[in-house]
Amino acid sequence: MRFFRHLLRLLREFGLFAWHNKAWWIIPIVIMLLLLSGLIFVGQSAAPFIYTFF
Amino acid sequence: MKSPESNSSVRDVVWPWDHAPTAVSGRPLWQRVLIQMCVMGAIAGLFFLFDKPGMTYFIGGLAVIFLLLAILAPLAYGRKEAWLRRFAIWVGSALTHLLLLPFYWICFVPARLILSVRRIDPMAREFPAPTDTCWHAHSSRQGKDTYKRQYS
Amino acid sequence: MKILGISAFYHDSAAALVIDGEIVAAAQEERFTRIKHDAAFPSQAVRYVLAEAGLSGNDLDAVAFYEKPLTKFHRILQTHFSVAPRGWRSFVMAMPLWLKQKLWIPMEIEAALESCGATREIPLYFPEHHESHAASAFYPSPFERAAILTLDGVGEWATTTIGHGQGNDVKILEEMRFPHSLGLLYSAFTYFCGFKVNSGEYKLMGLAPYGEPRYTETIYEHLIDLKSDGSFVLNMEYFEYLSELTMTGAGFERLFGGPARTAESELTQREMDLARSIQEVTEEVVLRMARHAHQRTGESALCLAGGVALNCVSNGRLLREGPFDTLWIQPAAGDAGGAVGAALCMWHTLNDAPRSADGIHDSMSGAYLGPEFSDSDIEQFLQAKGYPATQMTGAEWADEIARRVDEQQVVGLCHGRMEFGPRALGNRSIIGDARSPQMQSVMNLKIKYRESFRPFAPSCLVERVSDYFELDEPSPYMLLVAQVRPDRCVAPDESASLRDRIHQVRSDVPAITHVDYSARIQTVDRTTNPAYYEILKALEKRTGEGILINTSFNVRGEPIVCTPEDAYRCFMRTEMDALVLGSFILDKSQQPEWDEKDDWRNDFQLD
Repeated sequence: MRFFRHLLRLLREFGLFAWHNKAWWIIPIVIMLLLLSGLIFVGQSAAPFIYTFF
Repeated sequence: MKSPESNSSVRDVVWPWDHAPTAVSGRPLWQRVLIQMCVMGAIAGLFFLFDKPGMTYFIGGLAVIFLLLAILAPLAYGRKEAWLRRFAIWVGSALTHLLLLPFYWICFVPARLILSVRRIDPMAREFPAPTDTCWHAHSSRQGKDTYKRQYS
Repeated sequence: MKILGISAFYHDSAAALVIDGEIVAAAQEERFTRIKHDAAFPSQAVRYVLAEAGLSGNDLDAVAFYEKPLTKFHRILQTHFSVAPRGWRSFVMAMPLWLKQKLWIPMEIEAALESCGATREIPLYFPEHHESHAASAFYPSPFERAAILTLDGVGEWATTTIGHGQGNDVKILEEMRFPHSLGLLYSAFTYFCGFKVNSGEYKLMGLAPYGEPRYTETIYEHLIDLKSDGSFVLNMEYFEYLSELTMTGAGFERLFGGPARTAESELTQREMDLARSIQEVTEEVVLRMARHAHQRTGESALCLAGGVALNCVSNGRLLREGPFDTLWIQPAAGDAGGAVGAALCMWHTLNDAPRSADGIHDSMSGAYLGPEFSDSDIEQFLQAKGYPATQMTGAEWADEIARRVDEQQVVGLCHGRMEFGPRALGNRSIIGDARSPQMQSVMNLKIKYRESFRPFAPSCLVERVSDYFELDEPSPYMLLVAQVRPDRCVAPDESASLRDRIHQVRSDVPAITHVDYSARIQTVDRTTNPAYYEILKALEKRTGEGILINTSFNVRGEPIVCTPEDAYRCFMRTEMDALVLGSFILDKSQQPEWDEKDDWRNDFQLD
């Protein structure tokens, strides 16, 4: 239940982000990634220290 | 020097040295073995239902070996579990690559091509900079509600 | 109003609690989990700060997270659009963490607060990353109004900002954007010189005085287009951090005559020269930015935060040569300090509450914002474990510690509230005699187990700072570097090798005098840390010198100790002579044999 509540919040925020920044492209990408995320595996518990992707 | 009063709630949170050690998380061995036997039994049963006696015997035999290992050499059983865990991590990692790599190529590579054709660089990498200054005006806030957002 | 500030998921996760504008408690997660630079959600730090104030999750009025995750995610997607098909490795590495963890921060916070007794939804706020830094720099500062400069690797998009603080208002005026970042430029050189990014920057700064600025022109010519107002662009052809899991690549190697140094291999003159060169460039950039901030705001005071603000050599130069009369630097200038900044930002934004600043005192409580333990707790522990100790109080306690320092003993101090931020300021410190020519080597090799070139910092009585250094103002957070007074210095032998140069006596306080006669100074005053002040006073009475070596209480790769138990473990693992736990003093020779089955050094990854 908690997960779905937060999922809805996340989707809503991405929608508002796209609206405010006129970055509609982000919607399909996020939806696709969230769909994939069910099957994705997190190999590390924390980010490596370098790098700007984390 | 003056000693502080004992703040038991801080001590309990930060330094519970005299508390009984909390049980190591995870199931006891017998439960782990039982679960594995149930799973392997179910798989063997499925093969039996679909008329695959070879696989039924193979899975069943493997289950018996694991059971004997757990009873006779629990340490070796633990090592087998650790090995299986590593294997599962490898499979998970491979699956992640299998899903994300095609996505990256389908989605990001064409986008890069489009940006290149349109001569748009979101990273503004032109060097040397074409302007006299590289400072950008910061967009100012419009109300307290903007802080409730996870985006700007 | 009670506001919990949180920074997490990059490095140095932390939690801070602000009640009615006052910083009540703050701590980094690494101190509790014992994992250096722990980036995980700071559950234990949250539990601690709430316990410190006797609160449960339900008592909180707001939670502030130190940045805006969706904007950062947008930047990461944009980065990959810009570099594809290169960048697939970093994409595959980074995406699972984002999809499983970093996009779910509200859920993580909700779960953490539930475990602390919250049964209702607490309002959640997200200031920007550099806004949190700016708030952490200005609000606790002593200034009623000031210019603000925040410099770090990268937050959402901004890498550097100039702001203006007046009363209870902080406004960000200008920013520089990713990938053009002074923090990342410095980190690229840290990486190229074989040190770890986000922890080895200090080593690079310490290495710089051994080198010559031979590469400064090369850096200006090829790597950075620096404008007169301090803004710049980097030549991204030479940097790999947009697309790879490294900072530099083949271009850097061609430019600087060979591959990057591998970690732990011998340092050569090239690394020293590179360190010196990038240090000079960094100082020049910071100076120009400060002049621009001065022009933009017209203020005479400057507040600094962000990881680059921990570059105390640059801070010292800014103070001497910059346009500002005075500086205040957030002691937890890195991302951990973002927790404090986020909470303060929301306190002032939500309440519009008046803020008082007297121009002298800051509101960081000397950075002593972590847990402390009572003598009764310590006594119970010592008795239960059978560790012999002597209890002393008042002047006797300080005299005994001073006596041991005077007799060339190395003493571990674990008393009072733990420091917040990367520096140990006397409460979780290892101290020794600054007059000793051997003490630097002893501390590096027998106590800290770290590289021998690394200098040690002094703590000195605030009223005597100008007796030792070319500095006449307090530096309570060890964030300013100044020269040792010339009348205390002796001429060096310039022809000596690096190894010999390290061990040359350069002044009458040789253990804290770096090769360039500089020192990273901590001044100690009676109000902020009376116990530590009394130790220095007792030492002054005994030796005539109110100064000692102060280094953090840990070994290489280990977080600074938090509890007396952590302190005792570190004490027994190293060649320290005595340990102070609250009012108890433990002598190594009286302790039972320390028996560890495995090599404890394997517990810590080298930093």
